[in-house]
Amino acid sequence: MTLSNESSERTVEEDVDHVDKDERRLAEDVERLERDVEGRKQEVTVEVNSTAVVLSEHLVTGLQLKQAAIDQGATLEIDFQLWRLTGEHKRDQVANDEKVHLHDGERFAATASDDNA
Amino acid sequence: MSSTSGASWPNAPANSLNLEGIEPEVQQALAEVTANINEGVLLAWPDGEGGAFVVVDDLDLGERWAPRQGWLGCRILNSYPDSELYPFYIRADARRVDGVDLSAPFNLGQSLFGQPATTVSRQPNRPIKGPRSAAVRFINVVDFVRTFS
Repeated sequence: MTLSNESSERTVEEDVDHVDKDERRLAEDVERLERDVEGRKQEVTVEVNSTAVVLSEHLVTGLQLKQAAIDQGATLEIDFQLWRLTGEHKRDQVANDEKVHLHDGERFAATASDDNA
Repeated sequence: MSSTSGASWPNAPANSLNLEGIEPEVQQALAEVTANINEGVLLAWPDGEGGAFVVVDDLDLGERWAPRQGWLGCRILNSYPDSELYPFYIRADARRVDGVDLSAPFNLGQSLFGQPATTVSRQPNRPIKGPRSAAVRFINVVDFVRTFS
């Protein structure tokens, strides 16, 4: 009986240990999932020269936005002029060092300058 | 694209949406311009050689111009995108509101599709290729017309 009880007690202790480990793993999983969800919430998708550009930061400079657009395949060069398309008839120039707060679905255009011909 | 001619562009063919015979690349250019120039009345029709004429009518040329409303257009050659959209044209009677004579890059006494016009002789300072090159050209020229000094 003693042995059996001891065996039984060990089993219970082991079970408790397993449960503790499972709980820790579960807590870690929940924490990781929450981080993933939070990370996805922070992503923002804008359009630069008709190409979707995903950024992890909502507040970036004009230069950072152009670089991200280039990295993600948009047709532009880093010294192009950046414009925020704010609506019908409206475009606002964005300087390289200007911070812009991005919103999902916003549209930007980057254009090379012209010369007299 | 609208099929209605604007008042300041009387020479546009009645069927402005007939894209028959226009090269696919030129049709793509027209689609780019349509998607990105959200002002005025956009007219486009074939040039008979695989290219197209495209005009933004009833456009706000900006405070430097009298009359301020007018058209701006160009011909997209069948060789696009190997050829640039060049030159652009604006209505012939547009003048500087400050009375100063127009000079380069504006050239008086020209025409587009039989319509008297002033050319806007601007070119990219580098080749622009890619899915938005036609729209980029329009955006640049419209901005130049509105802001030149």
